[in-house]
Amino acid sequence: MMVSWTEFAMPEPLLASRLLEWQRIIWILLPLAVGMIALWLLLPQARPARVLISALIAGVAALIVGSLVLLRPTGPTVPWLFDALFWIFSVIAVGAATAMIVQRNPVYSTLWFALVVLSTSGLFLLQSAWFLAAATIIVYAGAIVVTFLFVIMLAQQTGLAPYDCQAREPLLACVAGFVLLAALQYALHRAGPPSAPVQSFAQPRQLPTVRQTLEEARLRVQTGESPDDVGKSLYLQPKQPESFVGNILFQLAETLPPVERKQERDLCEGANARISRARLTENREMMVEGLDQLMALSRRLELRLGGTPLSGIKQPHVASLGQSLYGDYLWAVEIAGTLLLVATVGAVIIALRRKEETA
Amino acid sequence: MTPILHNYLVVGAVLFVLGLIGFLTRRNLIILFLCVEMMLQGVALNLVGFGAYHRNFSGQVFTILILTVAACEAALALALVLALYRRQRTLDVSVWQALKEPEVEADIEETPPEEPAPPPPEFPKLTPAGLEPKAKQVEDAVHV
Repeated sequence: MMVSWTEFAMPEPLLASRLLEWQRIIWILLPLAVGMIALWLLLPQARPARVLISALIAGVAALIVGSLVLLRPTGPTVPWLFDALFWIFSVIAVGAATAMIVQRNPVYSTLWFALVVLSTSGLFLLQSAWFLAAATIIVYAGAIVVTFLFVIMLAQQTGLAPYDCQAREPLLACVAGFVLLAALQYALHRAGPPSAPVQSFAQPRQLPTVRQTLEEARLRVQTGESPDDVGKSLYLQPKQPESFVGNILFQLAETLPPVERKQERDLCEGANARISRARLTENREMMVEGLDQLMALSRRLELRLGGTPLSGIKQPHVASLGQSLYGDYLWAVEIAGTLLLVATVGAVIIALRRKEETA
Repeated sequence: MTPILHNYLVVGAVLFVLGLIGFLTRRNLIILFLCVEMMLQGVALNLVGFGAYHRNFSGQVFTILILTVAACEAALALALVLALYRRQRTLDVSVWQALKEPEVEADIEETPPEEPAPPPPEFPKLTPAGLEPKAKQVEDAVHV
């Protein structure tokens, strides 16, 4: 009797899907491995650096990454210039970072680091973090890099120091870096492509609809309909709890500046509680009262947010950042300020020349 | 327009790991601190990416706090580096292995690497121009 071969073979779809998964992982890890080999060749060691070979290998890594990017399905409506800028900035950042850690002369290292900072600022700009981009350039490139250069000039011997020309354990470090980066990439791969950005259900353009719904409900309560039936009409989309008008107003109140936010949120919560109690107890006056409060709130919100999309409340970007910084994170700002003060005092004390040293 | 979060996370991770490798391999104290700053840049990129993804300002606020910490760190570290340099006249980290506790075993490379051989001096090669002076006559003139 013939034994069927298929009994022992792995079921084909399963095998195929597993192999496909491994294929993707290998395709992700390959450029990392190649890049690390290039980095290992470039790191300062006893033998002369093989710049040409490692440049070739790094080029191979870049090609693999490029093919990964080209094969990936592209987003729907992102202008290509946006992507191009991202790639330019990130290639400069990674290239300058590599040059920084393989450079033997500390002065050149610092200058490459300045380039890393500049291209990171470019990436910040692409994420519409305008203030942060400017602050990074001013603080890093303007202050920190210059301080580093000063210290290098104060503590520099003539010519290249021997310790700058020999890395310690370059192979082990490259392997460790490869393992860490591979783990991070694998985690990102496992997490899958990110879903669409989190967007709350509430949008300021819903405000007129909300107000209309509330007015209609108020009329219907006054003409004698039961509050419970009217309460059912307070949902913009049937059978979706988050489309309850009170919820929408609450979420919109969240976008207000801190001072107004608390007040309006509390008010909205009170009105929502009143409406739900009125629905349970069939209390007509209480229902009207709650509806009136919500209506007043929606009118105020309409004046405040006036038809803008949620992310763009009508005030400049820096003002919103400042409100978040000095409103939500005031405590952290205080601690950071204290830290700066302590660090300044500490730096002065450490750098002071002591008498026994000069003697 | 929403930038793709995934890409920024990858670039941030690469910057972080490059900084880490630099920190592990280099011996110059100043470059070590530069590498730490670069790791902070990678983290900042991640934070700003997540902030843009969630459409709030928390990521940027955290990055501003990171900037503050980085500035403090640079000030303190450079003061320390200067103080150390004044004592030993070198920026090599392995010189300071003596600071570790006595019972801890020495690191793999206790001694700083030997000096690399200096390159052979190159003398300029001048191309001869004009008539070659007569050596013998000059010598005679000197003797006279």
